[in-house]
Amino acid sequence: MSKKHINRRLSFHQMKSMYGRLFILPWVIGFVLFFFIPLLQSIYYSFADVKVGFNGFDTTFVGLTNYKYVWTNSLPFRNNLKESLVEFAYSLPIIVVLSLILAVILNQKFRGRLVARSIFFLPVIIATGVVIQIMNQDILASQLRGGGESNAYLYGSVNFISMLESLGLPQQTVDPIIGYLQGIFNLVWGCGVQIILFLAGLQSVPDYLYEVSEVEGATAWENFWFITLPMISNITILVIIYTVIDLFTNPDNKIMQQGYTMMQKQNYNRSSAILWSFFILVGLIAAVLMTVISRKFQKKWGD
Amino acid sequence: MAEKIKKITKSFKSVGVENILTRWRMQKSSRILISLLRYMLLFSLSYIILYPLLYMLSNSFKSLDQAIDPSVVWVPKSITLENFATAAEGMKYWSGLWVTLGVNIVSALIEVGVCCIIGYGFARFNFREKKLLFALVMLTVIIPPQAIIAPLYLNFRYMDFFGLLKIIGNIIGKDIRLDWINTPLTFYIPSIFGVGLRSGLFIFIYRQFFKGMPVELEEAAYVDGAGPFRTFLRIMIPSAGPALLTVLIFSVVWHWNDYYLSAMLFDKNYPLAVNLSFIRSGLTFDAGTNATLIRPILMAGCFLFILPILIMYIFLQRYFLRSIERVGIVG
Repeated sequence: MSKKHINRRLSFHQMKSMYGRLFILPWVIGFVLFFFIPLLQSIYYSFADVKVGFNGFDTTFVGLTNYKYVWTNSLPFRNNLKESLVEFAYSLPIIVVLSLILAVILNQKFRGRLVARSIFFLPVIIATGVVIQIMNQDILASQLRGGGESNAYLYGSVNFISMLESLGLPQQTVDPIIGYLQGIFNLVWGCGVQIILFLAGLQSVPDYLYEVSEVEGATAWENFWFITLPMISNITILVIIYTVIDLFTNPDNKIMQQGYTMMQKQNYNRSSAILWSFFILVGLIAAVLMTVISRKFQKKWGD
Repeated sequence: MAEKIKKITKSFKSVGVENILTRWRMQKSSRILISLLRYMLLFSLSYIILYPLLYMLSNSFKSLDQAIDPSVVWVPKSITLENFATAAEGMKYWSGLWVTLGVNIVSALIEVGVCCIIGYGFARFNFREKKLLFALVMLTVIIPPQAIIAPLYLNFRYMDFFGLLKIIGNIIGKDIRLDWINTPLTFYIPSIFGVGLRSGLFIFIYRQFFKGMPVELEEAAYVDGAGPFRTFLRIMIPSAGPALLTVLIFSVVWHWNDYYLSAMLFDKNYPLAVNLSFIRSGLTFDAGTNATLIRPILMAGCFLFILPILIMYIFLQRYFLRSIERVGIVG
């Protein structure tokens, strides 16, 4: 190989990396203009007093005042925070496990698999904040006592409620049960994207592993624990992160609603303070979860 | 990957080779039980998923007197289309649909194309900053739009290209800053630069897809003297069907359903999703807080809203299911 040849090859590689930069150049510009700068501004707003006039907006640095206000004076914020953390604590494990089970089932070969799949992907297509909100409001309105004139409830039918009551359950226990049924609805509807991610992960597990294990005489249960789960550990982490973000940034989330209403009242600084206190908390939770889970995966199976 | 497989094959030994024959028999009898359980689980969860849709459908065809009639539970005695007309009027269906198509869906289509180019750039080229930049892409996935919406809104409201127009305006003594609020630009421009609605996720999907494609095709094209852009257009795009379809469906659906950004960046002539949330106030008759009276109309509104996307799903569903398998999001 002559020296000239090597030089030409090098320059070809350099050319290629220049082309690579060209391919992602629009994203770099967009990232800086429409993500990074607004991100810094938003952090700054939470430490500033933002006044919107006819002629644009002015900001003055006020230190921690906004945060102090949000954490000490604003009671709804702390209540909302507690509520969304509780909801998160039970939703996350249920959604992840349920979507994993469903993905494993939908990945098997059985009659009506395609029909089942298209039904289970439906939530991805039509799970929209607004429609779910309207459905929930409607159900709430008819399910709370006094809506007794309704004939069709979602899940909690008249018969079901009276059945629970005839069992001697007081109203204080019947209402939460109906509430949990409603919760199941929200959880199942929140599984769509996760099922798709898990399915894609399951598809990537090579078939010969299962063939080998069949020869060795492993049961389906052992297959799941020793092959499937370790092979999809990366996608599991992705699903967990996605679910954490999805749960917290759902427009139904109380904190998001509070931040949104404050923003509509042009209260940008306090809204930013609320959202940033919340995001830092979410980020911490996500980071802790991620390190714990990935360490556990590594301890068990290595990577 | 290879190491992992080795480790897993090693772990078989802990399972041990037991009497295969007895296991085989056990499996056969339990197989029936398992498939029974599977159908039961799938059926009950399908019920949970389909119930709201059937509820929506059933209620939206009920006339007012049947909505109150307790003897009518699922199938209305007579079908009325009046609710759809009322709902369409209440949510300004046609003007909203026009905005959704012209703003959100166009933005979705731009996003599908732009993210493809960027994803390819991340998948196939090597340069020093790549790892850092890709970490930043993942950052845009993790940080929700709610975190930056306030400054984004203010920047769009007083669009001065980060001080530039303000300085020029001060010199010539005239306010020449632009107001992009209520224009489609608030959706188009971020999409063109690959930072639109959930663009980070789409860049990720494309990257994983292109990484999984064999390099031989491109190398052959390079040997034949085609440049990277030509190779991308002629070789990669035609074989990127599954990835394009997956991203297209996700992008269209999420843009269609987007409520948050649309409600923030528009303050009149809203897209459909925002109009739907205002449907109560748009109704001409006053049903008050009576859930039963207003339910048929609300359900008709919801149904009208999801109908176009449902039709799209029914048509594309078969290809969508197949392409999800092929995209290989995991890499």
